Amino acid sequence: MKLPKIDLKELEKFKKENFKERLIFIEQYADWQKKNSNKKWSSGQKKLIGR
Amino acid sequence: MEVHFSKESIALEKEINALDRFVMDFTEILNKQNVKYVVLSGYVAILFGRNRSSEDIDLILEKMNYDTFSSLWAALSKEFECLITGKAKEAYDLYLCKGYAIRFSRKGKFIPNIEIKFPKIELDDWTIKNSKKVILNKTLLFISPLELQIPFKLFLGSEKDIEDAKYLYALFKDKLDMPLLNGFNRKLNIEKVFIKYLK
Repeated sequence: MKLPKIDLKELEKFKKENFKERLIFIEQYADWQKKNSNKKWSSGQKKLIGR
Repeated sequence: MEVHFSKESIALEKEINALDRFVMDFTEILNKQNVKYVVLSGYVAILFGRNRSSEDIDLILEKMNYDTFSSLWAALSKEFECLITGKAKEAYDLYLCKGYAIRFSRKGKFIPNIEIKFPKIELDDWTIKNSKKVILNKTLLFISPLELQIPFKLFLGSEKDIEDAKYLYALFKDKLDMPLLNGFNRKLNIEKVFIKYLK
């Protein structure tokens, strides 16, 4: 099977951009959390982490 | 988010998830045994709502003599089991006192587990001495101060650690003791990292 060409520099750039986007999202989530009730955010967390 | 944040404690009410319950059940035994400890690292972010799980919880336990440890071991063994050894003396002599960690899970389970160690460095002693009281749905537990946890996460430096630091800082930046946090940033030599990711 012929493997695709991989540009490691391009992938590194992609990794950095992805991480930057995640940090922006985390800040947005924290802002949302501060504006919402504990019941609202913690019930979402409970669904994700499990009972 | 309703959090009562003071110099001495942080109080919050939330829907308890499985990981919270695991930590609360474990630390309740430590509280009853009257031993000092701090929960640190990833669970601190999860406690305050970070949407991720964790296989293990990190905890530093104050140094104690074998009799005290033995009594703690007996209390823990009713509900939890040590994954490293079944013998208290071995856990104490061969692991904790030699600077290695031991792990406890609920009986018959492997994950999640709590990794326990005695303080190894001055920073570990500092964090126990300056632990922050958290009142979670009326249950008491002690965590490492956020002013240390945030810089330390940046010092560790994995993407997950930086994300946790970013999250805790975004939530509590108005309430933190900034001179203390900046002091740790300086000591850990992560001032540039702090500006890069958290500012």
